[in-house]
Amino acid sequence: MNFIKTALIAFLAHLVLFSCAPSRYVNTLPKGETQVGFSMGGAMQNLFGLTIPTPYSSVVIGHGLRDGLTIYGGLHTTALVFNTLQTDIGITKRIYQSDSSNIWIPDVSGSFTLNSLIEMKDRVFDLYPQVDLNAYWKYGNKKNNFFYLGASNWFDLNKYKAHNEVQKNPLIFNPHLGNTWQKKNWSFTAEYKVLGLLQSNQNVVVNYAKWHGKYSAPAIIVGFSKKINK
Amino acid sequence: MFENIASNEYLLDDYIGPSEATLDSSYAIIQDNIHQLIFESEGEKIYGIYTGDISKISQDTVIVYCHGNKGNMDYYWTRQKLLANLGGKTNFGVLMIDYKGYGMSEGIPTEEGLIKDIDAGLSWLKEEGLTNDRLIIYGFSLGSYPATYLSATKDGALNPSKLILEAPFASTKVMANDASKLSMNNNYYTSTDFEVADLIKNVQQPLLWMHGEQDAFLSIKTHGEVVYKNYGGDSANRTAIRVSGANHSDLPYEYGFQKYLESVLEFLRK
Repeated sequence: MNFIKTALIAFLAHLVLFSCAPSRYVNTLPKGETQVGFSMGGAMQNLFGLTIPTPYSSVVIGHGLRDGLTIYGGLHTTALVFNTLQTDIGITKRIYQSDSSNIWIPDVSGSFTLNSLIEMKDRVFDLYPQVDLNAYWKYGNKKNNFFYLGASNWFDLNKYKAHNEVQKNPLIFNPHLGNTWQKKNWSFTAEYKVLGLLQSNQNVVVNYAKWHGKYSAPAIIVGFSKKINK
Repeated sequence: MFENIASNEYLLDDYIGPSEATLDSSYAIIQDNIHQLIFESEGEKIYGIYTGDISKISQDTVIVYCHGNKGNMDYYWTRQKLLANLGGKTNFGVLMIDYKGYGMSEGIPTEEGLIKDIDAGLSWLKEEGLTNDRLIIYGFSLGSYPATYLSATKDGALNPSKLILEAPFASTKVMANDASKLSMNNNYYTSTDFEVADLIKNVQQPLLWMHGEQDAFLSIKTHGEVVYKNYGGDSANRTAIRVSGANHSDLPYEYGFQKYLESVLEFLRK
């Protein structure tokens, strides 16, 4: 027997799990380097008279497979509270490395991620591929910091939604911008993401902040990372 | 979403808390026709309000109004009063019940409990002489779940002869789909599995569906239209009223009280 109130509040608070992690490893890790990280935040929603980010969190581990190529795996910790095993496993490849003498030309990286959700009690499973593309500009004395601009694209491969209604949104386009500050073994990332830029935010049960009008939901996410082996 | 506001007493006409609208004095119901009732549901004491003459239940047609989530019977009192003016003053008996955890009703609300709570009211109506053919069930928003369930399964003490749904939800899965924009399963976020869109496939009774076109909470397109489309009875027995400009909770007010009452009455007399 489920307590409706508890369940529904939880439902409202955590419906918006998708895309609620920052872009993973915009700048690829040096070969052999391993980092662990923690991120929190999510879609901004109006709740109890306040506009607050969805309290969503995840942990991630990444490893520089070779220079310009990083693999990673993330576990969405908040989802675990709801008996849901949500993971994102992927790879980032540096596509373009700019001439370091020209600060205006960015490096470019692309990521491919498989987001999986498994509801552990009823064994429900879903898989959503994600493709990210980011341009990033390194700055600072050692060029450790970088500003980035890009988009996460989620793909919904299911033809139908609930009650056999046709899924008309196979692509969810989520542009973002962010900055990473790096200090020796630690780094901090802050990202602003526009979830579902082309999707209406009207007439849905979650009262998203409508900072961009009738479409999308804004999200604020922060993350910390630590080098653990180099 | 869930605002099962508990209270120590029902104020009804004296209630001054949040409300969708006020009705002028022409809609007033005389005290003799307002009855506060106590039922038992799953061992808990729950409360109901009946408007009408209890001694005439054995002859009257009765509407059981399954209220929504936003508040208790005080909040929905204007709705009951409105229905109590359908076709004349207390022309129809109207029973509203606070689910467990709402208003003065004891206990905690649960999915199954919503059905049991309404069924407790049906048992009382049956004891008072109501028969299936004179029972109408009306579900608003959350209340569309017990109303549809009892119509579809006929598991209650009485089987409704007609079903009215106002701003129903299709299912928690649609809520998940709408919010995430993905074909995501609701199981990831809640074990609550409210389901109206499938239940209604088993409803054969005539259906009146009303939904605000500007419903910002339960979209007419993804919730209401799906419920209406899935209706299991003869399509000649279903009636749709889409109210332009109406949001989730203000349909009778946007539509106009009289127009709303006339539409409901026309459906009941069909």
